[in-house]
Amino acid sequence: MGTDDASLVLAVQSGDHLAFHELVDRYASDLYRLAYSLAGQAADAEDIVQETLLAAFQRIGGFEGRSKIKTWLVSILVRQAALQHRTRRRRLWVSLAVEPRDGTSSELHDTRLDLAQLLEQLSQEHRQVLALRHLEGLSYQEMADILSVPRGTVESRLFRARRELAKKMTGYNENTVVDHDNESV
Amino acid sequence: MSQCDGQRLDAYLDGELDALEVAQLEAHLANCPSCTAELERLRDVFDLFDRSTCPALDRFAIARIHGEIESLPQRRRLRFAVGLAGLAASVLVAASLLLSLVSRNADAPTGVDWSTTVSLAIADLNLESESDLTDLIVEGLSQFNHDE
Repeated sequence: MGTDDASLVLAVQSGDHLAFHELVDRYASDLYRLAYSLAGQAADAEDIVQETLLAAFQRIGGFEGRSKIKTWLVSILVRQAALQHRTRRRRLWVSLAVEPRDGTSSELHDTRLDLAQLLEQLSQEHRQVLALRHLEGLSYQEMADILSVPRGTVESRLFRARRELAKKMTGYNENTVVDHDNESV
Repeated sequence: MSQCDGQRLDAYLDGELDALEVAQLEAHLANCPSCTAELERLRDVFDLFDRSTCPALDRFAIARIHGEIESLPQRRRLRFAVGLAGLAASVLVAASLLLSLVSRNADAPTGVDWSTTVSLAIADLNLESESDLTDLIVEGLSQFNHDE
């Protein structure tokens, strides 16, 4: 369609619900990727995305355009995911497959890391900042606005989340190293 | 920057440092093997996300979302109609109350003079004008439209 987000939002707010469908097509996949990183399961991620978009459709009249519409959708999604996290007891894991890097000779080269499994071992707060930064590419300030915390909190959470993830990556690699001498898999 | 600061390394890779801060950090890294090693470990974390793949949201799921959105206006209209009916009932009750208030007023006309009747009722209820009453009704209508 080529219509910018602001025009679509105005159209929806004026009663053109078809314009919201355009927003769905535009952002559903990105929202799903974020939801997947937070929930770790396809079905849960789908539920989160659906609930996010329905809630956004019902509340878009109150959207004042102080942030980008995508950022607003992400903020709703983060809350939906947190709500689901609190209510779910168990989850079955589907791997977020990580392709080996080319040209490396470390254990990482022959190991498919389960990013989702690593993320699951982190707290919800750490998962949030990692997903918002690495999957959505949000700035520290944007993340602070979405999470309703000071910017300094975002920075310290990211710092701790990455160190924790790095430790778990090291532990994962030590447990799954390929024994080249014995040709085991 | 002369001291090691782990959070600075994060901000550096996140592109959150200004040009001066970048220059200071890079000068520090040139002389700090510890921070350089830390930076490499941090790059591994970044790399992990860069190489990760995620199943795509399939078109059936997207179609379901579109369907749910389409059904929402109809659900809202039904809810609005129910709410409006309730409000209409409330208005009738309120009108009955107004009439009963008016009937107690010794100066109230016995004939059906709605204009005066309403004005007297508004005075009794301390509403400043008929538009206040309208505002109350509109406010009630908007509450039925508000979705939480």
